[in-house]
Amino acid sequence: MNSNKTLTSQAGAFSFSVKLLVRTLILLTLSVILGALSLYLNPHAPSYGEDILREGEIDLESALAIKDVVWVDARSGQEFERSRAKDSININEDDYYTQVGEFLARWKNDKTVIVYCSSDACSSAENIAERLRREAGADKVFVLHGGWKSVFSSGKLTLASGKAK
Amino acid sequence: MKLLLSILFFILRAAAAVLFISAGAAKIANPGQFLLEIRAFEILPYWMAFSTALVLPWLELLSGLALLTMKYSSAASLILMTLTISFINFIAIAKRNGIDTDCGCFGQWNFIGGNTEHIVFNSALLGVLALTFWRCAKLQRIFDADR
Repeated sequence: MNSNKTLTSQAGAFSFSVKLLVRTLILLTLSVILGALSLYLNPHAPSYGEDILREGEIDLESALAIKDVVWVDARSGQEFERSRAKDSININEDDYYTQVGEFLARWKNDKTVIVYCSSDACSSAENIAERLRREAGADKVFVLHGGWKSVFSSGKLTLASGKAK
Repeated sequence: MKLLLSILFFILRAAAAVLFISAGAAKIANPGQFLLEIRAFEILPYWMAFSTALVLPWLELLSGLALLTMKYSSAASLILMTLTISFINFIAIAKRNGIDTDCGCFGQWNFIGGNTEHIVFNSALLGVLALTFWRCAKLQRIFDADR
């Protein structure tokens, strides 16, 4: 009697596990099909390999094509002193109010401002760009796609190190 | 007491379902933006981030709908639990690597805040999903036994 009960319980557990597996696979398969379809039907879907820019971002090639640019380095003071884009101004989130003065002295409204931090994984460039738009009234402020990593690896920008003059 | 627990369970299940449906829908609307958010974590290789950006939002949406309608609810809660565990791991790795970026969990609509808050929120969500899985599995086995 007891062994019959155990067998029924085991069969129930097995049937539940099989159902669970099949249903999980159905949901997964449907998602893959819909995801693949959205690649063709959704206008916002990315193409494979395409480098997408966020709103307010600019890539290095386009940045270098602009004539009057103020480069703002949003990394820490130590990183800035180690290596930076030549003539860039260091404005990081901790010392914003002490450093923004130098920016205001060099910036005119027709100049484009490009802010970078370490890479796409940091958010300080975005935060500084937002503050420069809101608090300093700068209109043409962009965040550099790829950040310092892209500046350094491209070799297209003159670099400097040590304390800024 | 039993009725009260059933009502509480219903509210928790519906809230988790609506959360995943809205998260999925927000990402389906702009998978390109979601791809950027995944890549900012610098964990997955490009091909994997690309596939995730396309498939994961649909998985969230379908599983959320399944959870809400109680069709395939055990499978749905199992999938959502796995996803939530992955999210917690992702955010924890990003936090360890000093990456401070928006997780992109709800598209442009971020109401949770920083990485630590995300981990706490997702852990609570994982608890709700585990409870849902246990309840749904129990109901399904009772239903199967009656047939």
